[in-house]
Amino acid sequence: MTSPSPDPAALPHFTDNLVCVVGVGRSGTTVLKNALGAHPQLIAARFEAPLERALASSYGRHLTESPEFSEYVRSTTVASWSNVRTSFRRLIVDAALGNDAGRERLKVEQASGRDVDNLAGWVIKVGGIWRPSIAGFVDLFPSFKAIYVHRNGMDVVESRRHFGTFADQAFEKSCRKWASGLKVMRQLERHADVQVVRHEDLVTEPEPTIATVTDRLGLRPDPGPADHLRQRSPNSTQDGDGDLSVADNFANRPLAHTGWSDDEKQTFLDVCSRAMDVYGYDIPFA
Amino acid sequence: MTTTSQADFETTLASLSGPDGLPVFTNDLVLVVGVGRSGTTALKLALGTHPQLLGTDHEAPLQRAIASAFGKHLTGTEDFQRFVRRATVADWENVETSFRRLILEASIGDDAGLERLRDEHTAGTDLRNIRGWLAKIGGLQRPAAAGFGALFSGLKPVFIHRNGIDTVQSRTRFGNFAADTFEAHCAKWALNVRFKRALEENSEAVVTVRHEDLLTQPAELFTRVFTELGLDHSSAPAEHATNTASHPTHEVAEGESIAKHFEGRDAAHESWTDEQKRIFTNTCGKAMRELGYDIPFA
Repeated sequence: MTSPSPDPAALPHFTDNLVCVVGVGRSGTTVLKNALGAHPQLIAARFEAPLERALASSYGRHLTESPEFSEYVRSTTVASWSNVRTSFRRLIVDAALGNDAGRERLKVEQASGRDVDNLAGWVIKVGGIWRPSIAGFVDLFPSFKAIYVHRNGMDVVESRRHFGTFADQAFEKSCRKWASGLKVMRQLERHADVQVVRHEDLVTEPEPTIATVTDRLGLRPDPGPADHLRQRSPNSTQDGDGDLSVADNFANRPLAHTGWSDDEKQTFLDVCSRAMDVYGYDIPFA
Repeated sequence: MTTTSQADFETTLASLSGPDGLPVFTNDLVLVVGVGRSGTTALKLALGTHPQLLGTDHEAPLQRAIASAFGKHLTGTEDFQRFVRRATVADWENVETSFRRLILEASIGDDAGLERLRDEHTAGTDLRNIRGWLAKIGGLQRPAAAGFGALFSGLKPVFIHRNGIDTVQSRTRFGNFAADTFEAHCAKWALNVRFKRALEENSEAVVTVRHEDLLTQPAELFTRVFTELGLDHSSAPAEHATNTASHPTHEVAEGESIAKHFEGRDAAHESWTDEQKRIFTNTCGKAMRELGYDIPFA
């Protein structure tokens, strides 16, 4: 016998409540995702979620086009739409949390003493997100909430020059990538329940910043996320002095633009000035 | 369905189930691809009468989007491919199966097409004889082609093209397409070349069909197509193509020969303005040459 379609009841209870951390690479998205995962009511995916975003986009595209196109997609889909939705949801959960709708992961968590029955939501992170993906996530997970994290563009651009695959990118491309984050934030503001967080606040004032986030997510107060932020250096500040706190390393960091040429400064001004202004960051060489 | 028939259906279904829980023919997707108004519907319906193929009723836009979601990483750099695989926690094999199932179910219904297969069985189809299933899409880019190619190991794309002048003319008069500008129709038709290339990059078994052959020599055409698809010969598809006016040729009168209808009509471009002819030549000239069509006003 061929196997039946995924059963909606087979998804863990908390999967309705998806929290998606969004931000340009090197803005602190990883550390925020992991900090939220330190809250006893949340479970965080271990990695970034590119396949999950692509799935949400493929599902959400018809929702962002004309009503006729939306109707056309639905009318040409033979499976019942509720099963299609469940299958997409299931695939996204599997991709982020692992086989069997994350149950293997939950067993591991339980074995390490975690009360998985108490989970109220789960966290993924993506480097950027556009309207079809937003529409897809919102429709598939009606309690979807996004947290958009941004960081001073000069720090991000400088950090990207020294980090992994980003390091191969041209200076101007990094500037453009950072500036495009503003469009992502605007899309989220228009089409989703989003909270905007400053990377700098996460580093210097973790308790009140994370309390605002967890409060917005309807979670009970817990020291786990702020402890995580205080103890774990975000990728972006990993080059600091190991004997200093994350906040002290951040306060003592060299100015990002010190090594930039005049051309690079001009490029940054041309590409990033508007976004810097909107986010409330100064450009010392403007 | 009688108890005996139900038991027979379940026995048949059990014998059809592959290791991934999907019908064994799932991997053998015959994907009809072509720009709208090129004969994709007529070809899909004709192929669907072949006893070894399970036809589908509709176009497959969601299936294409799903294939594209899967295939996107395959068209990126090797680093990006590794990144996506590493970032995906579920076993990759499970992920592939789930994508495949989603595409199949979007086409033939819930529970891996259980009801559809039951209906076919009830209607007397020998399900054990099915070698593949059909879907059709109006076009596809590299990510979707890569996704279909990776998810369906037995993918057999059937690419159908039609003279650009006829296609553009037909689009300007048909349903939803009619709202587009003349230039947009030309640009859409010119994408044919890109669709063909995307398919060829992801399958060694692309079967190319000229709409004109479908009309004028269907028996010869289908003999070649079945050989290329590895299917037994069947006369049903050619008979269907000869005798049935499918939805895109709805302007053909009842009882009128489809071939004769196309034979007897005016050249498509006769009503075009000089400006439209210029736009067509500029936009479609290269693709017309590549697909072997002349432009009489070039």
